[in-house]
Amino acid sequence: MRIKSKLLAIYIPILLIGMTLIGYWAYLTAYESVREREYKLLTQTLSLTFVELVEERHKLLVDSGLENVPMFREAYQKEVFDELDALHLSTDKHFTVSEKSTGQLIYTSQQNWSPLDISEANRQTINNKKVAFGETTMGSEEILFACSEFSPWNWKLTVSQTTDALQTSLSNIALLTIIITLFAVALVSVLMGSVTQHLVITPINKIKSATSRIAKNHQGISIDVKGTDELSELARDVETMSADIQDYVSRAQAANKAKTDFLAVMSHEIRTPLNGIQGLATLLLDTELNEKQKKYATDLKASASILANVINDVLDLSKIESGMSEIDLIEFNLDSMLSDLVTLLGTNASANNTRLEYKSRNLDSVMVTSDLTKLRQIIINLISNAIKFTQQGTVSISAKLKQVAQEEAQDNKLVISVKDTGIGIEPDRLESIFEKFTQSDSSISRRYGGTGLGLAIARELAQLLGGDIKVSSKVGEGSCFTVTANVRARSVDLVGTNVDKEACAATPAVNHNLNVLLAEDNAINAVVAQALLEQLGCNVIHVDNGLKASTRVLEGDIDVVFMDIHMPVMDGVEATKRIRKLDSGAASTPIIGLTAEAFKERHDTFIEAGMNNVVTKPVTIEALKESLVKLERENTLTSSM
Amino acid sequence: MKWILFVVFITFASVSSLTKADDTVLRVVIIQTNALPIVMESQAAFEKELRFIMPEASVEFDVYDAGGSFEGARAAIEAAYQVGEPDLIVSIATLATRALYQAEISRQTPKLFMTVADPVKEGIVTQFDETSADNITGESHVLDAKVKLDMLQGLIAASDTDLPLTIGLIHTDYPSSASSVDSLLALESDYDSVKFVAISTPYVDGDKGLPVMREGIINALVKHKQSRSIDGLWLSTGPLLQAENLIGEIRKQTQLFPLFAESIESVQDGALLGVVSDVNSIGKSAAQRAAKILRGTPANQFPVSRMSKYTVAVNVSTAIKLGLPIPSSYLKLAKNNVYQ
Repeated sequence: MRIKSKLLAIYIPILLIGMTLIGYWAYLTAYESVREREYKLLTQTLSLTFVELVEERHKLLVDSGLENVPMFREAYQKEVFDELDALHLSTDKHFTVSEKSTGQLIYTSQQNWSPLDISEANRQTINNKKVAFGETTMGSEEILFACSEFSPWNWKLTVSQTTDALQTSLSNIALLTIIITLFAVALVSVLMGSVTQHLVITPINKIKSATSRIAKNHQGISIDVKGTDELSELARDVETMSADIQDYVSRAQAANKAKTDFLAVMSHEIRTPLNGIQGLATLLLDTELNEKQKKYATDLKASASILANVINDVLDLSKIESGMSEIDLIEFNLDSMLSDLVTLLGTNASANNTRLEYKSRNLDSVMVTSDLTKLRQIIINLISNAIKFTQQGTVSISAKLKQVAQEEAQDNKLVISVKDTGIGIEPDRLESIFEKFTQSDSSISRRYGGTGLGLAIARELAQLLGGDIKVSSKVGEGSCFTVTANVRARSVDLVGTNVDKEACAATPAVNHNLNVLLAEDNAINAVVAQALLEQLGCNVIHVDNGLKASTRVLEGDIDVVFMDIHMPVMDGVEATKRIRKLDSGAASTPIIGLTAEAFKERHDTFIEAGMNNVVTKPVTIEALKESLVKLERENTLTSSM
Repeated sequence: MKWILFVVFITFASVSSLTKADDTVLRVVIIQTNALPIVMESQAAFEKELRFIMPEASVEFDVYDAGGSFEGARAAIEAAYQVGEPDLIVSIATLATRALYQAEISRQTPKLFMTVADPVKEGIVTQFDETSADNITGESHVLDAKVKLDMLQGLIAASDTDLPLTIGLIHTDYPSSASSVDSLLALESDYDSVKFVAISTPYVDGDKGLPVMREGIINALVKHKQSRSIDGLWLSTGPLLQAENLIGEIRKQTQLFPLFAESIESVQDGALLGVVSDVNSIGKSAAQRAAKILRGTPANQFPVSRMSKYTVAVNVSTAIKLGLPIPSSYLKLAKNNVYQ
């Protein structure tokens, strides 16, 4: 409920209660006033009309000396009665004359008259006449009365009326009071609503809008709320706070950039020697070694690989947490991608005597648009984990779309489950396994290895893709990880897809005898890269800085350049720019960057500088081969041989 | 010192001569029908009021008595004009007014009449509240017959008396008296509570006329009473009312009371109810008109009308004797004219 509605919901009942109380008080006051008025009218009628009629005639008789003449007295009394009859008709009041001493009725305009009980009556002197008045009953009727005495004729004079007129007046007053009260409530509500809107709601909305802008943009803002009241002070405080937030955000962004730069540097600095270790271990294994030496070389390579994974995990997590992880949407054949992964990881599964199964539903002829890299990273992580914790069992991968894909690309939900028959997870550890640096059991790390970042990264990535990862497990029976992601999907022609699939599946061989220029300042890395390229059948020319590389390219006969980024004299980026500016055909020589920097935005910078592709260190023969194949596929690579 | 006294004397003489120059002498001739009390008293009130309201003028009143006859009035008018044409000539009572209205000699003179019962019947105007074609104006001192009948009916209705009452209309053939009775008889059919019997005696002028007329009317009344039941009497206006002990004699001879009389004196003498203009009011009202005429307004610019002020008188002793309680409203109207 909006604050205005809340305020009105509070105000209106309060107003209603308040106005009702005031209305009730006004009604009571009016009630007393009407009664007073009726009594006044009654007593005035009695003293100024009724008694006057009698006194006037009595005075005439006295002044004329006829007071004791019965004929005149009776005639004048009859005149009084005749006038009272007329008065009754014109005023609707009743007049009664009775014997003062005996109470015997002499005259009345009422049909059913009975003596009145005036013991409770109020008594006053009005117009020099003693008058008693009040409310009593006559028969079944409530009446108001006023009475006085006229001693010379031993008369008691009474004027009365029913309370009907009074009740009618009071009903009218009550009705009027209710109408006025309701009207006042409505009017005051509207006024209070307007005033509240003007004084409270509008400033609050402005402040709310401002805080939303602050939350969105983290920038200092100005709020159009003037005055010196609390809301104005709040607006000023918010303005001050927004300036502080802008300052803090700037500082945080600067700190984050510093951290990112630091990670990039560290990444580069660690990967560079690691590249050498891995490469040399690989090269070492290709030499003739005895069994013991071979085992040492194998362990060395495995250790380097684990270290590389750890570094990659740390960098991935860092990227995600710093918000630098961007979604790179491309359309791909999901079924094919998953099949490839199963094939790729099948070797690892076999090592554990574990069977890796894959089945999909409604994905045969579907193209999915999502971030392929992230999705593959999630699936690899989950399958690798499943294989790792399953000995002599089965790891089943299943994938499906929530809705059947149509020809037109539509939003859809991808669900992929990785189910194993491994050791399972304790129920109280099910959620904590997604926490960073956490495994279900500390002994796991010792027994199975790993940093404990894999699942945390996988969930973060899944959430980046608009989905999540859920897990269900039973100790000793196995676990099932289900990943969901928002995708767009469309159905495509089956034949075409198969062709693509085949095309994707078949990795073409690299064109042999390519003249490759390797620009690498690090001697070990240069040895490794050169050896790997030579394994791919390339003729490798090595230089140790960018300037030499550009000069060599200008000389010609170079099919492709593998360019390290950080080099003395001239770095790889500058060298690339120089090559691209050459006047000769050498300017279009393909250049593949070699870098230990893992951040994509840095890779984008290299591409913008003119590089065709970037290979991340530690370089592997597969990565080198893939980069060359990609160049061939893009027809960028033309052998000079 | 001598010079100072001389200057003061000259100044005083000059102021005195100037004052005298503005002091106009106006001659007002009064022709009275006879020397009856109503005539004399209204004339006296007239003279007094006129002198009071015209302090700037010196008014001389030249009074002539017509001796109660038309001829006497004509002779008086001629006598008055032998002295010179007056600034205003005033007639009091019907015969003097009739003579004045018919006199050629006074055609151009502003004329004013008083105590004339029926100026319409005299031909001065065709109806009340109308101006005269001649240079004459005045007021009737007699209440409209209908109003008088309404008052009598109101009085009778308040009693338990069997109705209708037969009322004898006592009058003479004196113009105003006969005219008044004629008006009552004309309205008789409109009132269920009364029946009128006209009883008259010839008018006799002169000082000895009143006893003669009194004897004549009593005889006529006795005669009527022998042949027809009469419950009460109505004393019409005219000289007969001035007859000494008229009511006492009537009561003595007939045991009848006048229920209505057109003079206060008659109520004092025993009439039950009287409504009439009092002489002071008649004289003052006439003086107001006279002053305006003497200041230059033509007399015939004032409509001939009835008096606007009347006096009610009641006699409670008569009421008690007749068993007719006087309504309180009448008693209240009578105020200082309640007699016993």
